[in-house]
Amino acid sequence: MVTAYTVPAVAVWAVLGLGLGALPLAGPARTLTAIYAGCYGLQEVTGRRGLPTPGSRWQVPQTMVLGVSGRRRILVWGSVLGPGFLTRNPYAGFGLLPIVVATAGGVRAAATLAAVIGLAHGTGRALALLRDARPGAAADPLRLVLTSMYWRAFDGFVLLVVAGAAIAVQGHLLA
Amino acid sequence: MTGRLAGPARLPRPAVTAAAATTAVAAGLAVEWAAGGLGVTLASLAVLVAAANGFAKAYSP
Repeated sequence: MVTAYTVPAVAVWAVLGLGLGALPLAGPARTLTAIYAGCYGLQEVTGRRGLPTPGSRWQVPQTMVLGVSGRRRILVWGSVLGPGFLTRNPYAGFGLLPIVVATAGGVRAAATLAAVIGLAHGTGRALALLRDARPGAAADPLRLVLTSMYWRAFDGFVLLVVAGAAIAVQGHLLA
Repeated sequence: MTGRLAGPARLPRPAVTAAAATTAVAAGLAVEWAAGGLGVTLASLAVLVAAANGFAKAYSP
């Protein structure tokens, strides 16, 4: 099952990395990384709402998974959820990832970084589903909301660390 | 005793958040700067964000 999530994720992200790495975007992407991570990081850490989280609002329709074989269902879920682009994502960190890929500068570096990001996202998604598939793992809705708030704060703090790192990279290049 | 600190010993929450946020930015800046500013820390953090995001999406209400 982990493979069904990681293989499409690595493939899609690697293609994206090839595209972004071929474009001369590294400089603007570094500046955008610092601004994006700083603004969204602050918003998520303080719990305020203002900037909408970038991304899709699409959800997998039931017709795609109901009445199909278990193997096909895993393939559909893996292809859709593994890369992470198609479905709703409440955390701003995901939107930062293509921008960071663009900072890599060079096709090989961008494709490698993108593939590792895809592997990490697909593996994380599959592991979460494996954990939820355990008996007795039914989630209490209130606990779900509370946990999502903790994850949002965590995402925000990591984004702020990213903002600092992006400033340092830009500073080194200007120094 | 309720177990809660009260009075001036307890920092207001916005101040704690602001201090933690500033520390986070400073930590990222310091680590990346010490690493030579090549973007290795940035790339590593992006991988961490990706893994955490994939896992945390299960908690999207």
